[in-house]
Amino acid sequence: MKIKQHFNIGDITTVDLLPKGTKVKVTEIHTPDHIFKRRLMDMGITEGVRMQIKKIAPLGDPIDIELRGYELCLRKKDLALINVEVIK
Amino acid sequence: MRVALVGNQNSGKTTLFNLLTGSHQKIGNWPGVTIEKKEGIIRTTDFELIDLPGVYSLSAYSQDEKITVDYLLNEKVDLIVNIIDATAIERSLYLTTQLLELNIPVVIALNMSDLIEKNGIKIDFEYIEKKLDTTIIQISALKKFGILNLIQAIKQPNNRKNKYVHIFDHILEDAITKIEKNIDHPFKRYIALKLIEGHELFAKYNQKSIQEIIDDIKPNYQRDLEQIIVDERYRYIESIRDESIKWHRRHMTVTDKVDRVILNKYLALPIFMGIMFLIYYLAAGPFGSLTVDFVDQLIGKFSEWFNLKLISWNASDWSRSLVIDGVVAGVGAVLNFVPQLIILFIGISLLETTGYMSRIAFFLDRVFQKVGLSGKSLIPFIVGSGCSVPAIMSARSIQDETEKKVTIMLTPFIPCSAKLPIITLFAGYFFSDHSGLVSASLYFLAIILIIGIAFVFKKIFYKDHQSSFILELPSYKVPQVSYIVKDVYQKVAAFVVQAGTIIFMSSVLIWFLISFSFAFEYGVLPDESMLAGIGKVFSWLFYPFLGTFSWEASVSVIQGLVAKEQVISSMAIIAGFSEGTSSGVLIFNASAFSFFSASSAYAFMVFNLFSAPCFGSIGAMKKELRDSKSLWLALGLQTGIAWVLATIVYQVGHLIEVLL
Amino acid sequence: MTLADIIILVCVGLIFFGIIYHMIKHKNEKVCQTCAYAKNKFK
Repeated sequence: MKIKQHFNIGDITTVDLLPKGTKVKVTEIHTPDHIFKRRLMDMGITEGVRMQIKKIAPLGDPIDIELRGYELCLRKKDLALINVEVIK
Repeated sequence: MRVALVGNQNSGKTTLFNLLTGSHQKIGNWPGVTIEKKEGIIRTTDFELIDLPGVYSLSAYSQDEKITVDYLLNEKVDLIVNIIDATAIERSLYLTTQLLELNIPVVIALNMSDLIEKNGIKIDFEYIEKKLDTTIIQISALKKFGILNLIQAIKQPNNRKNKYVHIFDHILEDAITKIEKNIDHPFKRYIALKLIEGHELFAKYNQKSIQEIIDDIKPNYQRDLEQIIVDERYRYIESIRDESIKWHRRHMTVTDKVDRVILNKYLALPIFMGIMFLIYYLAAGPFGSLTVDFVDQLIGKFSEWFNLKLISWNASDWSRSLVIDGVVAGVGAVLNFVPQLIILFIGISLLETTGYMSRIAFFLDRVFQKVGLSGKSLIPFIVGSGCSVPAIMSARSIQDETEKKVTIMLTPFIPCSAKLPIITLFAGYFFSDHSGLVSASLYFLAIILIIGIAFVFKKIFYKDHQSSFILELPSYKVPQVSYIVKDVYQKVAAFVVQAGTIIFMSSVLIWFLISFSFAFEYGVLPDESMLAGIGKVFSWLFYPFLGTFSWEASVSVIQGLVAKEQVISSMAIIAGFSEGTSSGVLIFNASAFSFFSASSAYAFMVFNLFSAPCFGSIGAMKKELRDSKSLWLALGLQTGIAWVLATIVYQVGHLIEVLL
Repeated sequence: MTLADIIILVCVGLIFFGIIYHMIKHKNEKVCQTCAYAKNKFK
């Protein structure tokens, strides 16, 4: 059982390390694969967008996040490539 | 007039397409790919409607997007119907703004509009219509309302003309205007934007002058132009949203509440196993067997009655036999299982329509990842318990090529509805008190095999393979009874049609081969028939897991290639012959099959379940795998493993029987 | 061969070859038309 670190508002981190309910703002996306990055953007994940962690799968992965009024599931290892700033 | 239907995946596009075209549909393929192309005529009109693949954007990177963009740019489209999910408007508008830039008139069909109020959302439609200069028709494809309004709007010749509304900042807009002057194609704006983004596909439109314009504006921005464009689109959409969409209460939707239980850390797995067990227990367990017996008796009575009728009509021995021992026995043996299938299909349909399937993919993804598969692989596996053909096709939703290929190759391992008769028959007879358990054990075996083989694949072939995964969790929906009825009916009808055609033909053929010797004498002993002759050649192949040389069983297994149900039909016909009667076929009491013991029965089931699937599935695999190497690998793997496993099962089981 | 025999033979033959004809005529359509609706379901 991994214990999630405690984060403060304003910290820059990645979604996979945050607990359920946290609200964040995306600061940077750095996926090595350009096409995947484009797909993320097309799904609404752009720099500056606000997201909230809604659900975490029973086994820890994937993670369901809410953004732009709808929900999307992404794997931890992909979320680790998205830098976010903790808002709440 | 040509109308294109464009929208996100999961927006209800297919349902809408079906509603708009009724039965006037034609299904084919986009050239060069295996993606399905659907065309039809809109009801009460003579307008052509084409269903373009579900896309989230026109960025032209994925196969789906390329097809959609290519079609919109090069075929003369007079109107676009953009279907939008009302519960995800902001995201959906991202595609809409791109469509509007094509200067083709757009009509927006706002689907699931009945959920807007339910979710506490208030939308100012007039504002949006004005801002985007388009027409919005509220519909609910599921509840079937608004469709006539939509068709009216489509027929309306003076749809708002979509006089283009500028979305980007003036630096970009200036650049776009300048670039457009150098582009020789009707869709100047779209191509100009693609060039600014640096999209390779459109490089052929680039020129030195254009490149200079682009390089000039780059320094104005901190990030790359592609990102800026995406950002500004969303910013525009956000501004529209701020003015026109208000959430009344930020409350938890029903979906969220239900998910708290269903996706709960401790409850998720037990709930899942409980549901799956329930469905299969009802379909393949004692209850299912009862329905089989019931239908069997009915058919038995019909068979007797018809037999007498034929005698009274002076039919000769041989023609009577053709009908009773051939056709009725063969087709009837398979029709027995229709009630079971109904139960199974209802179960699967409920899983799909309520939205629970996506949850399964969500929470099993972690496990599947470890073996190189995706949570999405589960969908083909579950659909595969109905029929492998649509299951293999539903594997398209898996983005990763490798995961997709492995999933396709493993899908046939799941016992499909055609294999259910085999399970029911053998389990019911040899393990009568535990038939439910035995049936379940076979499904578990299939799952273990799948996980095991996937794991081996990963270790040997795809060691360092990384894959990405994006999934949407749709809101839970209360399934509509009428939809489920139609869904189950279609699937069962497909099964019956299969029985009525292929199995009919096979039964006639088998009857012929078993009634005649190679010298074309009629009425020979089964052992001297042509069928026996053929079967004996192959019976050594199956000896290791049958424990004896049985041409009867061999011949039946081989027919499984045509259709797995045929195995039972064949056995029924052959048993009828070796018995001398054909009523109430007691297959295992017939001398032809009395050799079966519990262990060879289980082994026989194992072989049939896991060996190469029916022609239909092979065809589907070929289409989706696209290269014959993978196809042969898959077939060889399936049959090889089936044979080895069956042999092990039999030898071990036999040993135990002997020792006890 | 009685009349009944002939009738039976003709019926079975018609159905049999009718099916073959139908299959060849629709050779280019995708397998399992009736399941076709399911193909688009999970994209």
